[in-house]
Amino acid sequence: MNRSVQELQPFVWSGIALAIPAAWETGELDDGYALLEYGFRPVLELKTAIIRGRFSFKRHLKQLAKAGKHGPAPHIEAVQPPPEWPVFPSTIQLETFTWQGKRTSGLGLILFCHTCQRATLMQIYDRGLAEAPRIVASFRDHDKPSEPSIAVYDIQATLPATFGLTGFQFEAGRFSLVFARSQETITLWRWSPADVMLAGCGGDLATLVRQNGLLPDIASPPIRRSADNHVQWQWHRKGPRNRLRDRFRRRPHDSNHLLRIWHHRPANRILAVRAVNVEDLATFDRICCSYGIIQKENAANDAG
Amino acid sequence: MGLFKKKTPQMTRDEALACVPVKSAVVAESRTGDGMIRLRYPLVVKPWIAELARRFGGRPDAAPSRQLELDELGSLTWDLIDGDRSVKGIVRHFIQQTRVHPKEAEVAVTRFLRELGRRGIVGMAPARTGPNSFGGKRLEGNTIR
Repeated sequence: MNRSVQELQPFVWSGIALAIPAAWETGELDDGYALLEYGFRPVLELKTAIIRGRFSFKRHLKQLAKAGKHGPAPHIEAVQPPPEWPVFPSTIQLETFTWQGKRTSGLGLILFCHTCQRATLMQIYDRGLAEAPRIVASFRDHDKPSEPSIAVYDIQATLPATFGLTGFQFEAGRFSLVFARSQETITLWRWSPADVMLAGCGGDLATLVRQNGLLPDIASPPIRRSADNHVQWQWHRKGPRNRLRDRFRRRPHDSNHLLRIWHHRPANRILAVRAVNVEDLATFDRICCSYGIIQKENAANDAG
Repeated sequence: MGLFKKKTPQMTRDEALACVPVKSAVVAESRTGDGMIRLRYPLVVKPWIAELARRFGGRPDAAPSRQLELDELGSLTWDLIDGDRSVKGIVRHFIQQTRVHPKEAEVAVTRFLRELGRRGIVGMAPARTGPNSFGGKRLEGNTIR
């Protein structure tokens, strides 16, 4: 691996945070699952879940050693953690193993955190083994308020820990992530490449917003249009659920919508945040400020 | 349980990325006023439809054709197809020129090439063996989403 691989970038998904080489890319994401790639080939795979009840390492290793649907079982052997790996606190239990597949091999680890009851299975493919000590040392399965709560592909954002990810869609050119806390909802969008997107709507972010159906017809003109191309709207809407709820309430309840969109010129991306029922404007501002592009050199060109 | 048996892919992702897209010789290419690519390609119709069209006044010598106008990114990808460059090479150039995320570039380019292939506008030549090939190793991994 080359020089650029030495630089690190954050990767945060499904409650797991790692520092990965800047040349590694997000390959595939699912609920509690992530696959990272380097040069279009897998280098790290992780699965994570909150365990209810007792966690058995033995049972999980046995399950891994079973033949899967897609082929024979890989050869798995429990090993001691390499000496260069960090020592984990006593609340984290760790088991390591090596595996040998038909064409690839690697090192696996199962971590179980007694504090949050989260079990994580991580497999580092042989191409990524050189980076394993640094990655393992950066492992975190608890939220730290100052650190991003999400960092995947090229985007990162910090949300209050009580917001949970309820939906996501990653399509070529368009990402969207939905977080919710009780009645509050935060949606993050990212479009790319911005120049092409803006060329299709006359260079106007407001047109882009309307073309993508993010603004209802009732929305008033933008409440803020700053020099650095931030555009923001605010509107109130009474949805069918709210209308029904009003019948049983004394106080009518309108949902409060805030939408901010901006053009991240250096990265050629367009970012947008929408908050529904988030009454605290400072929270919305903080989320918008934290939402950005992971800065790195175009390391993918060196990959492979 | 043959009915529910999962189809095994005919080639791995690595092999697919190593293929070289080749433009069809029968496709006529032109540029629009704003620099986009316009492609005219013959429509492959079933013989009985062709016969029906002929009987209803169609010219027997004129093969039906369709026109396809590519957008900016489509035109860029089309220009990168030179009969030499592999899919992986096209993806790399696409990343350099548009600065999109590699995974997005891979999905967008492969989906575009698949669409062109479906219409018979491009064909896929197997990976070249030689010093410039990416071939050799097979990849175990995820599918393109």
